[in-house]
Amino acid sequence: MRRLLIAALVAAPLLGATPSFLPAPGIPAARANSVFAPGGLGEPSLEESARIRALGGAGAAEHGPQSFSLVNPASIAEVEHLIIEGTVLPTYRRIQTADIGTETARETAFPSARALIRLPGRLVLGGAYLVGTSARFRIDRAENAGTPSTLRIDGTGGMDLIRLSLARRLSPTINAGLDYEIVAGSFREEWRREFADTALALTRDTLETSYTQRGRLRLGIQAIRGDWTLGAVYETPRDLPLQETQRTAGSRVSGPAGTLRIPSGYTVGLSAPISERLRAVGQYRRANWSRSSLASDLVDFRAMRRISLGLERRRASIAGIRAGLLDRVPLRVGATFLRWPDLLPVAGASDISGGVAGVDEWAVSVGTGLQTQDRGGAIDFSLEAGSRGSRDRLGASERFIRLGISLRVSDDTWK
Amino acid sequence: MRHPRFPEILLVVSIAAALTGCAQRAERLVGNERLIRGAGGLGSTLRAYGPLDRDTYVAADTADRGNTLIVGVEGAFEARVLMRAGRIVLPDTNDVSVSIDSMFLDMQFDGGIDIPSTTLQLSSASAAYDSMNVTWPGPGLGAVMGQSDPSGQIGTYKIGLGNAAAFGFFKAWANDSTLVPALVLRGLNPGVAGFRAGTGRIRIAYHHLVSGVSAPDTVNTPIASDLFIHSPLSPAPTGTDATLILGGRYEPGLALHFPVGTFSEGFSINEARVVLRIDTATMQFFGTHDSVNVEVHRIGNAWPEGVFDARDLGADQAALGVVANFRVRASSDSLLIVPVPTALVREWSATPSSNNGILLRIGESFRWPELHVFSRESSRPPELWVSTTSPPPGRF
Repeated sequence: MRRLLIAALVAAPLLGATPSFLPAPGIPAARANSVFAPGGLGEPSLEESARIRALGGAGAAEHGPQSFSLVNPASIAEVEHLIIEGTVLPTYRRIQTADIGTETARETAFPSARALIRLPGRLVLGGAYLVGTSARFRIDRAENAGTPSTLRIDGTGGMDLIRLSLARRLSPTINAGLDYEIVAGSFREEWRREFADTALALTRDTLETSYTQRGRLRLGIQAIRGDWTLGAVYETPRDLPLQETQRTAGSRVSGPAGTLRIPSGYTVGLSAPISERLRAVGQYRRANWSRSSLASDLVDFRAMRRISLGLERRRASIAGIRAGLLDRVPLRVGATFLRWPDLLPVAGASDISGGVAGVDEWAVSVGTGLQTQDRGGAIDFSLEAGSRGSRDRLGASERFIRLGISLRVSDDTWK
Repeated sequence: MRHPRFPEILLVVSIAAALTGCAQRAERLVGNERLIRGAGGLGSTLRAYGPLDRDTYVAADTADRGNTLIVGVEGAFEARVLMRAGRIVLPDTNDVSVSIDSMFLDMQFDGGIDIPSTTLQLSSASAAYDSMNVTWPGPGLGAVMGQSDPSGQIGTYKIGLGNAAAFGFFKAWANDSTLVPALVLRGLNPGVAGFRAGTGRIRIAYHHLVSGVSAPDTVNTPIASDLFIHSPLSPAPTGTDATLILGGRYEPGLALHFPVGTFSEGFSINEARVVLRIDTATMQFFGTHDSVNVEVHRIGNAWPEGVFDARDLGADQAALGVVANFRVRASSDSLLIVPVPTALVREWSATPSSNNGILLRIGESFRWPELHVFSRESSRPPELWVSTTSPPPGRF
């Protein structure tokens, strides 16, 4: 417990000060995200906590009083207490482009926050906020079309997800869960155009693409046999009518912009023991995005796929034996490969008629964590490094390092 | 001796230290390379030039009730000051020792107008006038009460009322309120003088016995209201003049009307300006330190190009904007660029019937030379410049 408190005291200011949607006083809000965020749906976010992130994001087969994931609603079925968990994700990125050299950027995201509570009847109720995609970006560029101007675009928003979860342990070998997921958020851009000619007033435009916020169901199940666990999730599709609104001084134009179809999808995952303290996890996640998901000249879609693999060496629990530091903390390693659903115009093309290319992303991760003696609370860390994009096809590629920090507290933590 | 939790503390502190600097800021700006929004690009700003379809100059009211009074003659221009005293104050008429020494009218010069060498003459008005409705030439002239040359006087202008009849007039005005206590000051020779309104007073200096000793004293009658009127605008506008007159002694304004096209939905308007060319060849240049503020007023009434009187335009009193410190000191000062609020232009685009144009005028323009502006009938007609920016392309 004392260990957790020390960790929490050190990390709390960081956790509290850096959520991307709550800028700290005096610190400008993050204005950089993936170089591919200005197009399509934005950067897909892995919503999991640092513990699962260190395992490459493979959480479909997680279960237990303190082990659960966001991907599978059935994973919370064994929670016994009130639990609150939040994750913060500082990222350092290096962008290499075909024409404008190399740039670096740093930002902090807040991918998820969750609360769980055990109800009578062996039911577990949960609520979570998570980032689906992030469309944050800032662009400054000179424009020479017509009167020369300097253009600044601030993009914010993306797809946010709000999940209400209900799970129950049906038998010692079966967990089942249900998510009602509301797709919230919007894509918002502020365009500001300034002119060298002072006689011309600057232009401010607001462009907002929003959608009717609707919910869909996510069904999860886990089969447990000894240390073996198999998890699966099915996501139902949902149609979201799009509305596009453009505002400038004295003018507002708004109208429907088609329909965004959130596709069906599924996830399957496995947790398998390798030795007494070592286990392996794996997961395959797919969302069936396709050309019919959204009619657009600027983005096409393909199925989103994420493959996750991980190894976890649990902390030693040998009573009465003084173990070393590395034995007393868990160690996790993982790898993930993600195919973004967006197919973006290739470098040099003005729209998808000139050809498209997908964004492929891979990352490796390591992590550990500290737990209270009663295992009610924990602080977990993950360090991820990866790459995405292609300079040849898309004109840009990114390398990134992310540090995930998750803090979990429960009613046991305060005992 | 190490703390028993040293490894854990070291781990946490190390991670926290590594996080230092991971604030919410971007070191550089990213994404230019991947900002792709279709064949139309990111929008563009274009300037369109349009002609005016009506322009003329219009006469101001021939009565000016401002802070400055001008009087005199300059070519066809003539200005007179009309003054009305309140109740005339006289020395004690029951005091038989009173001996009138002098009577005079004094007024403070307006420091912004040169003092000419001319003759100004004060007369009584032969008839009452309505301050709010009086127009040129105003009331007829009654008895001459005095005259003097303002040149050589400093600060305060005095005109002696030594005429033997003057005191009689004042006594009669003091005793009979039905008489017309009005005065007219006019110029007899070329030259225009300026005075500060509200500073005039009639003064009577006298001696009387105080404890058996003759002592000087003075009584003052302030001028209760004053204004000046001037001759009608000359030359009168015809509606087809090649040169328009803005400002100068007659204080004419410019009425301008320009059609505004329709703007596509979502377009931004970055600029709306009326560009006028100055005919520097025919006008007098400004002095070294002179400049004017050109006010822009919205016209409320529909008007034909042959309109003469500015009051027929129904222009708003409040100015839409001001072109500050405009001056013409050389032939190169040949452009007068008048901004028009873009919101107004957008309104006119949406409802053309509300577009009656704008009126330009210069406050107290009698102080400065008139501006000669080429009209739409000339070879250098005025233009309306409008810059618009197309809306940003959609994200999807």
